[in-house]
Amino acid sequence: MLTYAIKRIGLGLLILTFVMVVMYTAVFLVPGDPASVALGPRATPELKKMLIERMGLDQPVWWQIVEFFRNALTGNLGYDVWSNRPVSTLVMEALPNTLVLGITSLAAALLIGVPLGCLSVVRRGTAADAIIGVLSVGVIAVPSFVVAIYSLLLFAVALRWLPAIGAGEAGDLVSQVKALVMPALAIALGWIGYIARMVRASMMEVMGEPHIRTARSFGLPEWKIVSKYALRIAIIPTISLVAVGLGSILSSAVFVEAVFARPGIGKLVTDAVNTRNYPVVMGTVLIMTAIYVSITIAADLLIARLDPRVRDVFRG
Amino acid sequence: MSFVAEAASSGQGRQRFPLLRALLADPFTCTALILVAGFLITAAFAPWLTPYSPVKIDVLHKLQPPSAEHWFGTDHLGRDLLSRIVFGTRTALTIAMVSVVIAGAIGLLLGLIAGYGPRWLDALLVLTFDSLNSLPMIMFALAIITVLGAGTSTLIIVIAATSFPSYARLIRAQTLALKNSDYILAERLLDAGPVRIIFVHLLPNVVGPLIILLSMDIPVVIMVEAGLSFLGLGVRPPTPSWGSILYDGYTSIRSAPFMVIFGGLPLVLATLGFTFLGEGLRDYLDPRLKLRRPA
Amino acid sequence: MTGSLAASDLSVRYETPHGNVHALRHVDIEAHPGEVIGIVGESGCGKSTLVTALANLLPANARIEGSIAYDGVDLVNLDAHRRRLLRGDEIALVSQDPMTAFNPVLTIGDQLVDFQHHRKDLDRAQKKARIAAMLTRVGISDAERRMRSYPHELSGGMRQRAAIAAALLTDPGLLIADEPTTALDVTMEAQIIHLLRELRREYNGIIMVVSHHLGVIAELCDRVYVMYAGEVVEGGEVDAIFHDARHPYTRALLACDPARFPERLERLPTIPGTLPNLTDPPAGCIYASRCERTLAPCHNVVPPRVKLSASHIARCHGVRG
Repeated sequence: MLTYAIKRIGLGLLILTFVMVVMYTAVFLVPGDPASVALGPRATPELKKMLIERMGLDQPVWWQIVEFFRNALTGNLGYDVWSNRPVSTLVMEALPNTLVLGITSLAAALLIGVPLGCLSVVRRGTAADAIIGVLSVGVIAVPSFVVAIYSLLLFAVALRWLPAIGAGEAGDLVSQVKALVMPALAIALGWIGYIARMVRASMMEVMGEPHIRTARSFGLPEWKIVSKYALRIAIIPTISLVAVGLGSILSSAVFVEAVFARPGIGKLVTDAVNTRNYPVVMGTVLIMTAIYVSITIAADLLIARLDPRVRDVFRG
Repeated sequence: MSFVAEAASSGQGRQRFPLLRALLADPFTCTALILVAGFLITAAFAPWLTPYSPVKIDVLHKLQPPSAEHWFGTDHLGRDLLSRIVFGTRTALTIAMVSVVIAGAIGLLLGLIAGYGPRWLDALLVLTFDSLNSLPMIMFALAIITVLGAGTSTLIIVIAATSFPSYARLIRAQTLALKNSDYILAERLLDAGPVRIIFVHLLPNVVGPLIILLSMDIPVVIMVEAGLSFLGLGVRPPTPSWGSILYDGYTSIRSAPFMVIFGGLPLVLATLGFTFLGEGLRDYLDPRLKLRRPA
Repeated sequence: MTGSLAASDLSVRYETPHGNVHALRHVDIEAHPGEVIGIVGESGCGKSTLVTALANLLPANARIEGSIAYDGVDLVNLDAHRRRLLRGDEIALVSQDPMTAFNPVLTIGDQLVDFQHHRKDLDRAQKKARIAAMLTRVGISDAERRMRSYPHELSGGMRQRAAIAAALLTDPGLLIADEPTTALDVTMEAQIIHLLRELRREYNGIIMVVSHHLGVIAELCDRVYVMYAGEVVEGGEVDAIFHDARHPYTRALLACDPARFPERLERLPTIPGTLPNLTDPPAGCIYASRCERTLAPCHNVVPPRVKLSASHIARCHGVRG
């Protein structure tokens, strides 16, 4: 198990390095240097020179990469080109809002999606099963930022139940929760359908296995068979897919944060892209990729814990 | 057994267009097919379907609610919303088709190389695919846009660059499976060269699943285009795009709510239509492929 | 609690898109406490359907007719809830394949605790103590450690012992062992048979052993029913069936048992022909199409149940009581 964990983490670090190298090389290969792109055509040569030095663009590309990683290891991700604030501070300010949003959405999706999938299995072949099936595909299809805009129109503009923008007042939990409802639901909606379908599919497979017959032959109640004997196995492929899908939850967060003007990572990075703020973009990408890669690794390790068969394969 | 007889009889009465018949049999797939056909026709005949130019500004008649003159109303610059939506269809579908085809071609090529080429190259390519796949897609996309600047061609590059790794992985897996199959081994014993094997045997077998995957990705691409245009990072104004129409509506959501209502509808209908059609295609052609992830 | 089991005129059919499959037709069997009953027949003879019907585990597309009386209660017309309460309490099943019988992601101990859910009078610690004692009883050493093991960490023989222990833990009046040794190698098979023989001495419920293996049946059972294509064709004391078989099918089956050949043969004997189509069973005797000595009525008259002695019966036009 430990060697497996070390191997996975090593691969994760390798991927991270690889990604940053590719990105720096891409910046280097693109015609026109980032400084002039950022400043526009009317910038003075002095201003340009200053910016190039500040961004470290006068160094060879391999040196820039080495510098970036050396600084990143000490927690220094560079400085905002315009405000000169440390990128790490900007990211740390925005990150909690995005993490709260992502985790709330995923939790809501699991809490609603898994029971719906189970219900589909218990009632397989009935109208309820068919309705859950069609609705699942439907909500998967609709883009989350359209859901966000429509719910903004309905709940904030027309009904005035919920605040339209922001993440709530600092220290005021009620306003923060209120500000979280719509963005979280906009992201969760599609995932409810996706999780329900995943759980249903893998559960149907498990329900045909002989050990379920054994559990039945001992007269265990159906709900216990579904919720303990079948779900424990069926949830395993679902967990790995949900982990992989966290990347797309982050993507949805970028759009949804824009709709609700929620000060998170998505807003930080889109603003940075709009102002050609290279260090902020690079730093945010590194942090988000690191988070994403570690979630994937954590999910793999969790699966190894949940499935004793997998655990033993990696023990040796 | 009786089902043998049944199979034989259905084989006798084989009808033409079995795929189309299968798709029309399911009410949802049938509706989806009609929706998709509608969008394709709208995109193809956009100039003939629109009463006004999608870019003609008329500030005297801005933010007008729907009327007989302007069915969907006008936007903040007085442009006819219906015309913009119709031309937005053209933008959405063109970008979706072009970028998916480019991504598919890159994926096909790299997948074949990885699956058929030497082991070190395979390992390197797989590491590349995995690294790109393990990036949160939107972060990668935003990074590319920062470097290249927003615009239609950037959008196509972004979509192609973020989606080709999953196609390449599929093609690689299929190629590896086929490469070690008995009939390819037999071909190699008969001294068939790699070019012949790839073009005559591998290609026809790996293209089917790829096309299903591509068709299932079209709604995702439509959504990405609209989303990035909504953020101002996609199609440049004044070119009409569903995303930028939504953004214009979003900025005047209190004074002219009809703009986001009409602006969002084609996006919802298009993603629903393409998704259900993709589902139907998948169920008919290859039920083992998985459902697409939410966008 | 122990009671007698009697299935009379029991028929089961499965409704499928390709027509009804008549898997079990007019089956009569009976068993009394303390008896070991064998059910023998080739694959597809209806053994599994019979077991599934007795254990109340038939799938949703199955239609059942006739009656199964256990301790005077008619199982066929029982509502679903009370039927479930009987399972794992009065009736326990040791299923066919010990490799897949247990849930792979739960420990043996956890599952055996759950399987005692009818014993509301015991707390978790008491249930665990019972498990440890029972595992030791069926010959699993180091029971405490094995309870914390996952199924894949146990050998096939050990898993089958654990499955038998699971069934015994529920104190069933009827213990059904469905092909208990089929998935095991010869050494394991001998050990499991030895275990079952020991159990029959101290256990006073009904044990039903289902097998296609004549040797297993001969070693374990008091009485045996021979099944063919969904019907019981002959039944009686083990001695009577093995030494004085009357139905042509039983005779053919015995003639094909490799264990009974005095010397090595070049080719194993087989019964010519194939099983009849169960979606449309023949009008007369079910075995007529493969029988060596058919008589005039065999092809269109259902053969009677001929009583040959107090417990020996055969369904054949060719035998006389």
